[in-house]
Amino acid sequence: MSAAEQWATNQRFLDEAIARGDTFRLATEVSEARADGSFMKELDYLAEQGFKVSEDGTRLALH
Amino acid sequence: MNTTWPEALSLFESFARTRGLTLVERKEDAVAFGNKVVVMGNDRLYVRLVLDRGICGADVAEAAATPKKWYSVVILRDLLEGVGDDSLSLPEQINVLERNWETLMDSFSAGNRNNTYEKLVVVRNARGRRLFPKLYGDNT
Repeated sequence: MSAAEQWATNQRFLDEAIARGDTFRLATEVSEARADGSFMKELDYLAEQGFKVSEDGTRLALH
Repeated sequence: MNTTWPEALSLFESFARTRGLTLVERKEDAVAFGNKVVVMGNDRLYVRLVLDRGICGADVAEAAATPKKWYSVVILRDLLEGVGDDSLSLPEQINVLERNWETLMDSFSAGNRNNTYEKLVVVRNARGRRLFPKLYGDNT
């Protein structure tokens, strides 16, 4: 699967979760995102959608 | 971080050999994204090389008490040398480990690790806010 295909799959998954009103439980801390990595791209995308990180840093929820 | 896996593994194993680290774990996801993980360590520290969806990176964990709590080399660089480039190539990450290895070993000793964890909480929070101000509501 190419990088573009991987991102398309991720984005579809994120969009479906957003449409359901889900919150995202973080398996990795936001601060550990690798530059140029998929996790960083996902976090950038969710930030653009209005998500915020919880006080304890373990979840992302829409605000 | 565009180093290919064979190159990355060679660099990583070369570093590990010079530090006397031995193999702890090796995993490969042959189904989905082809992710790979190699963990090497001693009785104080684990160092892992990760290929995650095409991006190579190195992380460090304290081996005895918190072997699952991984810190990226960028976070450790911020802790030990001060904030710098958030995008380090794998050779640059290995260089960070090389030049700070003795300090890292000392930082995660039984007597120092709690103090190190407290500092790492601050460093992580700062990096998270720096990279993703919108997620923290820092730009509203």
